[in-house]
Amino acid sequence: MGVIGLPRLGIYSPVFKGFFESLGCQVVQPSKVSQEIIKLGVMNSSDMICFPYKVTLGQEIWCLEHGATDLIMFSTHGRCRFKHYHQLQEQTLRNLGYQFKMRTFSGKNFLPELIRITGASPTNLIKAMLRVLSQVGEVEHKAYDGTRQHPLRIGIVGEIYTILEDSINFDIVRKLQKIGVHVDVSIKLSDFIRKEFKLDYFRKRAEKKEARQLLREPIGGHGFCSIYNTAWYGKHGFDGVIHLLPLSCMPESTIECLTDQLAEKYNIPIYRFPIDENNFEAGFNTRLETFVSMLKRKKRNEAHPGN
Amino acid sequence: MRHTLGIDCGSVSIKFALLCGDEIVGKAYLKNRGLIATVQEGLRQLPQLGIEGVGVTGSGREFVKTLVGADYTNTEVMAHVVASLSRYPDARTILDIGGEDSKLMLVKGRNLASFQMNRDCGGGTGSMIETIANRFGVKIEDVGEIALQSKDSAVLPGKCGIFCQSAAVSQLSKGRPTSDILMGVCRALVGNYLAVLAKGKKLLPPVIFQGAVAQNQAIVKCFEDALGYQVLVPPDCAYMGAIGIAILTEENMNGQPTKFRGDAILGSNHRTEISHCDGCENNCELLRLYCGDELLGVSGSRCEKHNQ
Repeated sequence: MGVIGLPRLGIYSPVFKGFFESLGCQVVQPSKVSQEIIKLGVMNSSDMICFPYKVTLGQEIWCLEHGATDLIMFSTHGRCRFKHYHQLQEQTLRNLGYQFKMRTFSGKNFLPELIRITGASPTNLIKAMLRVLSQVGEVEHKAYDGTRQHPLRIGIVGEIYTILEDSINFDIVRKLQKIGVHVDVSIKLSDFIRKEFKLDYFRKRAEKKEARQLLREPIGGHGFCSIYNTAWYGKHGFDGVIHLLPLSCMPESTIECLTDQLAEKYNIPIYRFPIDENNFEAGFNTRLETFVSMLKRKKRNEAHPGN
Repeated sequence: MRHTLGIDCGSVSIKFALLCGDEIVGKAYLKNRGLIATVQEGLRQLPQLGIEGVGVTGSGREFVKTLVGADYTNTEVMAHVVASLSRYPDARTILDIGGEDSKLMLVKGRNLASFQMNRDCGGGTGSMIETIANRFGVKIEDVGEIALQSKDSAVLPGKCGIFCQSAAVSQLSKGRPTSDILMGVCRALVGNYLAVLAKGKKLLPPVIFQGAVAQNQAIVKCFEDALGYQVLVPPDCAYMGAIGIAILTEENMNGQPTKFRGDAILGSNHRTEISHCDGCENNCELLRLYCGDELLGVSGSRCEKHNQ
């Protein structure tokens, strides 16, 4: 059994680290996606590939430099190019001269794959996974539910890694919470798990139907989710929507005009942050502050027309 | 009437507007040559009136807030919209081009409805014209007048300022008149602005154009040609950020006394100290501002740890 290198996933990073450790594995995981890690990823990626690819590649290099022998990379069978990432990254890392095993699993084959990776018995594995599920609920409750009394409510839609990894989105959720905004994240890990196991069939059905009229075929990634979640926020009295996506993200940039259209229809302002290594925090903060300030003024003026 | 001071602290220049109600009773426009020295100089140029509220906007707002003891800060986008709506209550589209940034603001029902700012790059901002004008030995204030004499403007790329300059120089080598080339630069800038910021959005009249670049008549003409509407330029177009933040400050004072430090700001004993916080992985770069031995404030921290 080797040392597992595990990329981060925002507030869930310790949960996954704990999962492998509880099954007796040794794990290395960066404590933050630092500028150094981003640089490592950017230097070894093609220019126009999405930012999560670069960031996870950078973390894999970091893990290998810190003693990892086995890399874990999630894979999906979806239609976005993410499904190829583990293979592309494996090739890139081999070309760089690293020796390692690339371990990948998806929602479909995770049980046998995880047993093979960890060497744990099925019973122990299932117990550990149930622990993960309850911990996911706990961290989400701690991160998102404490601000429900805040007067302004913003929903976040977009690409899952950009939304969840706080060190690449400039910790947008905490920043908003600090200035009096309640943030609803439309694709938390729990939502992702529900979607992966088709347990979200009855959720937001009217909005999904509406979205399907705009986009008949699935587009991959979370593009379809961004469309119906924008409509959902618009219909449920939210004050604004923030669309987070990696610059050049295929699904999310394709559906931009559809989310704009729905935002217009439901009279809910939407602001889009395409994120890549060239963003700088001061500019990001100015946009974020302005958006919030704009929503506050809109709300105040709508409450007291004539002022 | 109360006197409220607005300071718009941009990357290229710092603008001051002293307001008494709606009336501007003092203003100053200075190139940014270091925040402390420039702010001191600006305050010296303003009429000596009792200031009862100070607001700061622009990219340097966090630091200048500590320096002057500001009562209120907001982003330059909000400041520009508020200033514009105070002059043109029916405005629907506000264009703003400053030294290193450009913004587009759309207004609906007298509220800001959406906005865009330039991202990664300063192409299509005032600095691009200034650089190229320098290369041609033309003063920035004269660019508009010369460009308007053009009869057949050159076609230049507007995405990158450096490439635009190369293309402009190669046109010059071919013997093209300066006026045609400068008009080409103005057109390229407007084209880039509309392509980057206005993507797919309807720009409805009345259209207001502000920021220091709005003083350039050729750019105004290019916008009018591209949009098909008359473009209105407020008389104090370069000061609109400062005016807006002064109005916002006045709205938010709620009768509280000002924190303005007054003449103490002019003291020569201000110094800054840069350090890195090692409290977490963020490694924030902290900027401490001292007046003599007194610590005025810390900026640059992402958490509350260093706020007093």
